[in-house]
Amino acid sequence: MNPAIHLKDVSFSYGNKTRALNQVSLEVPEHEFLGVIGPNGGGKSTLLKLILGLAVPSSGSVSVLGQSPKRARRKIGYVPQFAQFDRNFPITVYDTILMGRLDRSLLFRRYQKEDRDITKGLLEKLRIQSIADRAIGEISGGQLQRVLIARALACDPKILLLDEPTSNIDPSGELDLFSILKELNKEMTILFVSHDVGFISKYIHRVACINQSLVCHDTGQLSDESMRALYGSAVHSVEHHHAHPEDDEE
Amino acid sequence: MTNLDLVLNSGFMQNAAIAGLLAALACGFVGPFVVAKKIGHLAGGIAHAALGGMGVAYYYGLNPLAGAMAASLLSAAIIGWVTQKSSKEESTLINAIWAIGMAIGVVFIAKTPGYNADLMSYLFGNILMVTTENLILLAGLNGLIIFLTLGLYKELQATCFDEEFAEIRGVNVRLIYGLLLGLVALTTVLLIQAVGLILVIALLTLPAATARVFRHSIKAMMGLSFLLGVVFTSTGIALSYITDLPAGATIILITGAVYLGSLALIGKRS
Repeated sequence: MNPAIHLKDVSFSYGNKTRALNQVSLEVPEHEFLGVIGPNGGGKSTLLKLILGLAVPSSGSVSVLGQSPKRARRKIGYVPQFAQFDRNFPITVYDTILMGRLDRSLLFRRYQKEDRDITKGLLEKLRIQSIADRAIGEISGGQLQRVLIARALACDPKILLLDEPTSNIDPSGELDLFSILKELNKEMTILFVSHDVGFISKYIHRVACINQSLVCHDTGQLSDESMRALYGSAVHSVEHHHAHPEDDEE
Repeated sequence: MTNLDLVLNSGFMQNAAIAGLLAALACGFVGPFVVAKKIGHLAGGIAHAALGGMGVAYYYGLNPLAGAMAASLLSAAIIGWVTQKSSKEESTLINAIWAIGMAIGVVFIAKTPGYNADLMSYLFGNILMVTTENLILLAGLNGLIIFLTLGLYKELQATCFDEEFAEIRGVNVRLIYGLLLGLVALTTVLLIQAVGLILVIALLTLPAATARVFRHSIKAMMGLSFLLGVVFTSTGIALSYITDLPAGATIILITGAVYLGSLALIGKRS
């Protein structure tokens, strides 16, 4: 079986100077729940762009579900940072979720009944039916988060990618989010990136630390105590016991 | 009432009313995208650069509206191409195209022999002088604009709202964005006849921005901004006829007053 996501010796540079990723290898098996953490500018969003086929590695290879990212990305549900949205954009919650049903073959065709049914089902699943007709500017950050997850699920994805899902979200919203993701994890692989270590929860199987290079921590191999010490919910920073070679150069 | 009868029965007033309706349709269908995507300044560059094409067409004795169409499509293509490459240069580039286009227009109009009364009408509109030939051209353009905005509505909406997500879903966002700029260029041509190129941006964006206050989707904004456009252009034409004021400027003053009024309403609401 192909891994859901496979990066092999991937390097990526913007222009000819800044190296965003250096020799990164990562294998994400199906149904894994992987958290990628790292400082801002550490290459997290570059990693997402590579997986989504929005950027091409300078060297190395990326494959998603055994295919090139460009071919496979329609099976990826992408949840961008909700904080970056223009909240004043004239669009309703319902229409935002419907966007997940976009398909290149549907040019000059309206959304079909099936698309509308799927959207209605997702509104119920994420318990946001009551705000379906509201504009995205009129709902809370936590609600917008759910809307964007619903939109990603409307793609009928095999992989869910989330960018900074916990920034600007209150702790109860965070708990909510993780119970949703835990359910979804039964059906799909989940990978998310965050600069905030406070999110680390018991649902996550592995944590990858990224700062140009990438190191995985298998949370299953760590004792409960060290987990709590390192990633307990009260802790918002992690002491790294492994060396990031690039850190020394900075 | 006798005044109104006179207005409704005169041929040039009928043409003016039809031109106003066509302008309202175009700005109703395209304006909401311009407002939602916040590319009003870009539309400004495309509109003003149209004068270059008008001047050249005028000099060679061609239809100035055809010249306007060529120039605005060309400037839309340049702006679209450069903004895809680097967004840093965008605003300077738009200013450059804006100014260069107008300068070319002024130079060619100055070099055209004869009395250059038309310059004012290009700048400020001549809706009362619209010819039947131009009306047919405008109606054809309108058909194209409506066909494309409705046919590609979901792609246009997605590209304006979240380009990255649309691209992941297989939408050719560059093509769709380029198309949107092309639609802005065509709409510009339609609006030049009504209010002149200086005032194009007002008619393109203000009815849509007013509609935005009351509506929460681009589609709903389209309907309302079209209706507002019809009201603004027809009352503007009637008022200018009665008071003997320039039609284009009168339309814009009404449009602007209603927009400012709607802003005041938001202030009151919150």
